[in-house]
Amino acid sequence: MSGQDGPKAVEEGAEGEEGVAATAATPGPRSRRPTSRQLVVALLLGVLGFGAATQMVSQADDDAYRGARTEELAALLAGQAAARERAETAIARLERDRDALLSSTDSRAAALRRSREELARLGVLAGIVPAVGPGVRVVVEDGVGAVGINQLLNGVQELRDSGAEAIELNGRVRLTASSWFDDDPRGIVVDGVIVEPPYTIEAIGDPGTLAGGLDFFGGFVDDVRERGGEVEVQQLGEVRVESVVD
Amino acid sequence: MIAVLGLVAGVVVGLVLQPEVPVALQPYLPIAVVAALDAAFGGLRAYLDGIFDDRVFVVSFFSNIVIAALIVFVGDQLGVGGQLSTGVVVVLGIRIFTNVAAIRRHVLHA
Repeated sequence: MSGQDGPKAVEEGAEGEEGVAATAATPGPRSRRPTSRQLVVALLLGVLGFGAATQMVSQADDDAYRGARTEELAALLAGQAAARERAETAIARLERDRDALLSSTDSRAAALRRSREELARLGVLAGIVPAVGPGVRVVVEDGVGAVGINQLLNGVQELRDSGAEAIELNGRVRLTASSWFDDDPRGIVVDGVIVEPPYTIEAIGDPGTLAGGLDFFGGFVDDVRERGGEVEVQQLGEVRVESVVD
Repeated sequence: MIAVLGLVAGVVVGLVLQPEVPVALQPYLPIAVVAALDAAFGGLRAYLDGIFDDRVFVVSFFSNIVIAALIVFVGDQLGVGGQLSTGVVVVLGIRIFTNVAAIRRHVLHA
């Protein structure tokens, strides 16, 4: 309502003034006008041109924010804030995904490493791979046939109880959980292989513990010596168990 | 003739200097230019009608600018600056069309 009143008033005012001007200025011929009045008009038109050119230039070279009103800027700001919030949400989600992927890769790698270590350990225990490490070498001289399968079995069992990981007999037979012993006229049979004296038992494990497990009162060493055999236990920094189970 | 020269000179000066518009005046300059344009066409129409008076032209020129700027200023204070600016531009545009129509009748007799 006021918007319609305003322009009408302005228009009437302008025409009224021009009407007044008409009554006041009609008699004066235009040629008789002093130059100063034309100069005033020229000056004002110059101001108009100057303002128009300035506005056009500032419109052309400036971005959309210059000359924007407060509410427009507020709307732009709100839009930017919303966009930033969306971007931050996306960043947080992507970082979470990345962390999850990294940790899963880590845990997979760790599981794989543990599995490999377990495989190597079980391979040694099962006798399917060669093994090297500190251990003992037990040499049993038996010239009188005093050492039988009972003594050897005891000795092997003592070594196992003392933590032996790999045990080898005479450099040929790998002793595992399923090894078996039998008597034979020439010596003994272990896993179908005839083994003759002297017997050499090589075991990988802590040398001190293994030797202690054999050499105690009533133990393997005592037992063999009571029967007339000779036993030597060597503690070695490196024992090689090369034979494997088929 | 001198008036046209003044207009051209103003445009040239504005294009050459490329002055920075003060921030406080930025909402008002485009409205002021349109208002001054209206005054200029009104003056041209009065000149062709043979009733041109430079005093009236000067007064209407400045009053147009001041009133237009004032309306925009008040609108900004009331929070409807954008709408009032549009309204002022529409009204001044209608007036310019009316004046140009009168000028056209004078010049082309059509």
